[in-house]
Parts: sequence; structure tokens; C-alpha cells
Amino acid sequence: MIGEIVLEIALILLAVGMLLAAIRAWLGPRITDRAVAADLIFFAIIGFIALIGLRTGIEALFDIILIATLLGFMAAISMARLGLGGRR
Amino acid sequence: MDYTTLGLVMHTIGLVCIFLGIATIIVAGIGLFKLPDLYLRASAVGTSAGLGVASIVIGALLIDFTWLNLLKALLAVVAQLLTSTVGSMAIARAGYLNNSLPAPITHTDELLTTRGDYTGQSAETTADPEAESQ
Amino acid sequence: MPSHRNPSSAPWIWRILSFLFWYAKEFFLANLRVTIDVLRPTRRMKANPAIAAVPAASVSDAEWTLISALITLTPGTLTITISKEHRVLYVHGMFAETRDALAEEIQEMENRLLRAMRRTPGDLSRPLQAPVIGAGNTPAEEGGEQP
Repeated sequence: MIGEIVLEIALILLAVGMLLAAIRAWLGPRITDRAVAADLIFFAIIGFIALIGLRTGIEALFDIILIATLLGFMAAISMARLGLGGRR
Repeated sequence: MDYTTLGLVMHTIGLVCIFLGIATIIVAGIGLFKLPDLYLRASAVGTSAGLGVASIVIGALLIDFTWLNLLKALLAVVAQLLTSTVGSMAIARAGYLNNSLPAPITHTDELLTTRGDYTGQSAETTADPEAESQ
Repeated sequence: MPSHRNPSSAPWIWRILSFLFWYAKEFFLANLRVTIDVLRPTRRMKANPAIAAVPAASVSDAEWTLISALITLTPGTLTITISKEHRVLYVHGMFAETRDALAEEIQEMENRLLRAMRRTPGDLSRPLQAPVIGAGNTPAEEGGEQP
């Protein structure tokens, strides 16, 4: 594959973005700030799944991505719910 | 995977797409620090929710192309656009109800006049107690 | 404005497609704008946020859902909440020079969406006066009445 090293560089860059979001989730004064940061971490995780899937060449890569994108908003919704203390 | 010219071109375009998506995620991460309040941060994260994830998925599709993967990738992009929208609306609404007031640079806030109705508490008295410990 | 001529004479599928192309263009431009603004040094950032109560012409639930989702999907604008009985969208905009500029941008998108979705354009009028929600406009007074 031409992409071995390039994919590794991409993984490192993605980790940088994830780290930024993780620091914001750690600092974030309110739970909703943390929720936004957690959202960004989740998008980075989708990127990780795609890159690692390309690296290892698994068959079910796009099924995993599809399920991840379908279920990703559950985290955001439950964080929002948590921020409201169960109120709607 | 064979190294035909077409395959090589698709590989290259796919890698460019992946790097564009990663750049969008990093920019959103920088935005989380540079922007002052929840709503602006949610706007910055919105760029990577839509364009960032979509271009990473499309890049992966171009590198590993089959027609079935094309279908799955299109479904994944549409699902991502729909669900990330719902998620960020829920977070913004929760933030406003949770007294995350907009930063001072916000010049107009017409939702403020309706606050008493929604929270059942006054904006002034609850401006800080719900903030968590750092 | 090109979109204002013959709003409903074209076939339905063509109207939907042209709306989707217009929206995709706006989506890319908004992404570019937000990205460039984040990368600018802090002192020269152009972010000029506002939360506006935008009167809306939507009627059915599908229209309300679609317009608020499309607003949120565009980076830089964000629907915080809606009030169907007052027919108002509460929108946070990142690059709002004035309140009216933001409202105009949202209403243009809504006009285009409704013209594409509906068989006939129908009623595109919007409520004129700002809604008065709650007894008084001062939250502190209302807070005092709470147990």
C-alpha cells in the first residue's frame, strides 16, 4: 500500500484534534461545554475507525461507520439531558 | 487492490479528502478554545460534524471502493448530517436552559426576555451556582 | 433575485433539486467562513453573534422540523428553540451584523425551502409583532413569584 506512512501521519493528526477536544472537555466550565467537546471527540473516533479500518483492511468497515454515525447522537442527547438534570 | 492509474488517482483523492476532514476536526478543536461561549463553540464543532466526517468517510470510500460500500457510505453521510443536527440542537437548548448565557460580544439576545418562563428561576440568581467545579 | 421568478411553475422534483444545490452551496460557503474565522487571530475575529427571534412562515410539523434542522446544519447558525404558537424561531447567528440581517438570511432560506416543498407557495406571511411570552418581560419579577 502507498498509504502506510501517510495513514499513520493522519492518525497522529487526528489524535491532536482529539486531544484538543479532550482538554476542553476537562476544563469546560459547564456540562454543556463538555458535551460539545465530547461530540467533537466522537467525530474524531469515527475518523479513527475509518483510518484503522483502512489500515487493517477489514471487510465490515463501512457497516461499522454506518452504525457509528446512526448512534452518535445518543451521546449528545443524553449529555443534554444530563445537563438539564432530567428536565426537558 | 491493483495499481491501475484509476486506482492510483482515487487513492490520492481519497487521501486528500481524509486530510481535509482531519484538518476540519483540528480547526474545530482550536475553535473550542478560541471561541468564548457554548453557542459559538457548537457552531465551530458543526463544521466538523457535517463536512469533516463526510469527507473522511468519502475519502475512505475512494480508497476502498465497491458499489456496496458506496451505498453504505452515502447512508452514513446522510445519517451523520441528520443525527448531528439533532444532537447539537439538543445541546444548545440544554445549554440555554442550564443558564449558559451567551458571551458579552453577543449584541442581541431576544431569547433572554422569555427566560423566566422556561427555567422557572430568575436569570440573575442562578447565573453561577450550577457551574461545576473546575 | 432569481428564485423569485415563477416560484411554482417548475415541476416538483426540479424545484427540490435546485433547492438542494443552492443549500449545498450555502453549506460549503458557511463552512469556509467559520473555518477561516476560527483560524484568524483573536483580535481580528469577525464573529459578531446574536440571538434573534425570527418570525417564521412554516405551518406544518414537517416544515418546522426541516427548517430548524437546516438552520442548525449550516455552520454559524443554530436553532436554540422554536415557539410554534407564536410562530417564532430563536436562532443564534455567528456572523450577524445586525439582528435584521440575521433574520433576513433565515427568512430567505425558509422562503426557498417552502417554495421547494409545497405544491403551491401558499401563505408566506409572517407574524409582525414580537411575541410577549410570560406575564412580564423581566425575568427577575417572574422568578420572584416562584415558590
